[in-house]
Amino acid sequence: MLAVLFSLGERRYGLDSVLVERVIPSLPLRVVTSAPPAVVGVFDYQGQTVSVVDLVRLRTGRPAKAHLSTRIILVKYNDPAGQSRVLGLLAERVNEVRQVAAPTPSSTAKDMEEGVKVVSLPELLPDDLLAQLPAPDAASG
Amino acid sequence: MKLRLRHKVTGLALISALVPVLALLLLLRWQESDISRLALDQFGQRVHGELGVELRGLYGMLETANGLLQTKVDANLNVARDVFTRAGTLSFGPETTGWDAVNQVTHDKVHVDVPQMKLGGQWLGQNTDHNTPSPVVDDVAALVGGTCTIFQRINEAGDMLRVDTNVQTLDWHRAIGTFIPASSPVVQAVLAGNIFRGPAYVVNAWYVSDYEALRDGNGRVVGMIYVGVKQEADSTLRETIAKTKVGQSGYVWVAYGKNTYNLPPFILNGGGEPVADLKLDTIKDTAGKPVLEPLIHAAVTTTPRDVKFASRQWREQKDPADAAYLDKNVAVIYYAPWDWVVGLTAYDVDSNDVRKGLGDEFNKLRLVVTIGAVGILTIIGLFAAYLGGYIVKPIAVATGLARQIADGDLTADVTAHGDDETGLLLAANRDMIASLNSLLGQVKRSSIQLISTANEISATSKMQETTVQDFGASTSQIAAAVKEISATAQELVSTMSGVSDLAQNTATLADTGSKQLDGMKSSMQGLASSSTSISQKLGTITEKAHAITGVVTTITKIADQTNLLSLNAAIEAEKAGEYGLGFGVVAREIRRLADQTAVSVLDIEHMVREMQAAVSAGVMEMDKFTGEVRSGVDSVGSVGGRLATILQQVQSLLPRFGLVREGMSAQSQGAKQINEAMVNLTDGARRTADSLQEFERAVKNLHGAVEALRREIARFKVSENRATGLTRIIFPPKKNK
Repeated sequence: MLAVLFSLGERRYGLDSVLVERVIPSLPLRVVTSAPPAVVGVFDYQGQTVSVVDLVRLRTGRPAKAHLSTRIILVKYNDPAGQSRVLGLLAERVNEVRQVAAPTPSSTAKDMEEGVKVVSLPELLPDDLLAQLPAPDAASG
Repeated sequence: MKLRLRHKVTGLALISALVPVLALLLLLRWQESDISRLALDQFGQRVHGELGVELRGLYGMLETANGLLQTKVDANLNVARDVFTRAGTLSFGPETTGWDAVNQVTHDKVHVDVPQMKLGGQWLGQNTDHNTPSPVVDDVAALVGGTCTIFQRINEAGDMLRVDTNVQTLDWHRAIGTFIPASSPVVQAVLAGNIFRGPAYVVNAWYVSDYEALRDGNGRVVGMIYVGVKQEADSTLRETIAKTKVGQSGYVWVAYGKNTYNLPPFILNGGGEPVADLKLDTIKDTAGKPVLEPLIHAAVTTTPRDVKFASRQWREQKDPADAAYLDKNVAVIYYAPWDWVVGLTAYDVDSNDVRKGLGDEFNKLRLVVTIGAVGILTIIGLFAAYLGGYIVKPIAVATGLARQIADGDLTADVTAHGDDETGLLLAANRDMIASLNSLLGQVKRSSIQLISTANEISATSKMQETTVQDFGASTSQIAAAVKEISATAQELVSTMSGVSDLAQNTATLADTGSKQLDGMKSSMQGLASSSTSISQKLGTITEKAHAITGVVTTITKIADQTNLLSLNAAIEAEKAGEYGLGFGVVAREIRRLADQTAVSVLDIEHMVREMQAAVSAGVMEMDKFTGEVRSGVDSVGSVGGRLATILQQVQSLLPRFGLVREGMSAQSQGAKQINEAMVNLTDGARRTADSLQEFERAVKNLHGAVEALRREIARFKVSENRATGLTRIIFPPKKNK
């Protein structure tokens, strides 16, 4: 499968491009105070408010660096209400797609294939994060 | 001295004797040659006389012989004439005979035809045969002997042809057929009606001959008759001549005079060589001149009985070294009838004997005179020796006296004797001694005086000398001091000069330095401005770098966008499934392009950063440099200022140096003048010292002279009664210096 690669700190990860709506450059975000701390801001995308989670901060504790290759990966998810929602994942070095083998439950070796760990969304996010995301049409608080 | 004078006297006497003797000998020698010559001349003349006499004798002999012969021939002619007449009447027959007539002179042949000559009707014939009798001629021969020939006149001119003869040719034929040409004196005489008498050369011998005319009935000469008798019928004449001797070695020779028949020139030679070998022109003297030939030529012109002599003695041109060939005298006499030149040659050996004899006599004379001279000289010598002694004795006495005086003995007494020169001499000596005595006395007195004076002078001069020396020493010191001052002043002057020069140099250098500094300042300012401009340029570079960075940023953005685009494209392509494969490839390519761009951009960014870093560094450096330059300019400025100050100060010094120098110069001059004065003074002192020394020396000389004089005088013993007013001489003691 085609994976979109990104870096969190020193580790390189890959996300199945099926999940990826689009990759967009980093852009200035509205801060929503009511959002969980992982959410660094929201912005408007095609009429809906998209939250952006700083994966780098989640994983390493420091905020993502402001490089050009620090981009937002827009992923589709279904919120608890079952609506298809878009979430922005801010990661560093989002500059590559690569054909990788799909992970199987017992593919520890393949996890390390070419130093890329293919992850799924739940692996990346805290469990309750999705529930805590502001509503898509929530106004900026 | 005594001896030499005596010798002189003796010598004088001897010479006086010798000179006349030598003169006599010389005269003798001189006269000897005259006498010799006279004697020889006389002898020579005598020789000539002898020769002459001999020759004339010979001449007479020839004359006699010839006369006798001629008489005979005349008789023969008479006989012949008689025989001829008796033989018959002369006629010329009608018959003619041809003859090949030969001219006896020219030897030309001519053929003639002549009528036969007949006597008593009988032809005389043409008989050449000796054994066949010929008319007339054989009869004549039988009667009187000799030769006879009948000639026939063959032409009007008178050529006479031999037609009948008893003359034999060399080959025993009768010698007919030749003719005597009319031009011959023989024919001429006969045609004129005379009898020709004379020598005739017939065939090969000389004959005393007569020719007479034969006439016909009309008295015309139609022929000739000849009779002849040999000149030398016997050899007695020749022998006599040949035997003739003159003196020791003289001999006779005979030669032809005119030699009209060109026969061998010599007829007879008593000198030994055969006649046939003698050629007249080869007889030459040592000078190469022919001797006999001219003599013979001269001889034929002489009057009869006249003897001709060769002009000088001569020696034949054979080997002159050979003693056998001595000088010869030659005399000749010419007997015309026979054309004989009779010559007498006498060797000079005879006169040599005379010469020798004379020489011997003279030698004897010389010897006698010499011996006599020696004897006389000896006698005179002895006499002179005695006389010399007598004269010399008084002189010896005088000499002895003089010697005494020379030795210093003035006490000698002289007794003069005689009034002659020697006596006067001795008297003069005596007077001299007296004078000397008085003189010496005077001298002795004067010398004492001189010595004392000299001593005084010496003392005075000594004092003077000391004074002068002191003076000299002082002046020397002063002079030394002044010299030092002068030297020091000089040094100072020169030093000042040096300093002044240095100052001048410094000023010059400062001036130059100042100028150079100005130059430097301006250069530095130039530098500063340059560095500013450099900084500006660097600034420009920085700007450009910024610009580049801006562009780079743009490019980066574009790359980023491209990358993003490619990502999204790839994602979409994946979503599209197999329909999106191509799209996916394109997306991938685009992404790669973007990545490459990003890499390049990175490089550019890197380079730009570096450049910026360099530029920054450069700018910093430039700033630093400019700062330094500026500070440098300031320093230069301050240095220049200081130099100018120095220059001023130095220049202000210079006139002061000048003053110092002048002052020093003046001082030096003064010192020099003092020095010169001192030198003069010293010179003066020295000269004084010198002249004092001279003075001292003169005094010493005087002392010395006086001393010498005293010594000299001391030598003389003075006779008390001669020296006036003087008894003894006392000399003052010698003063040591």
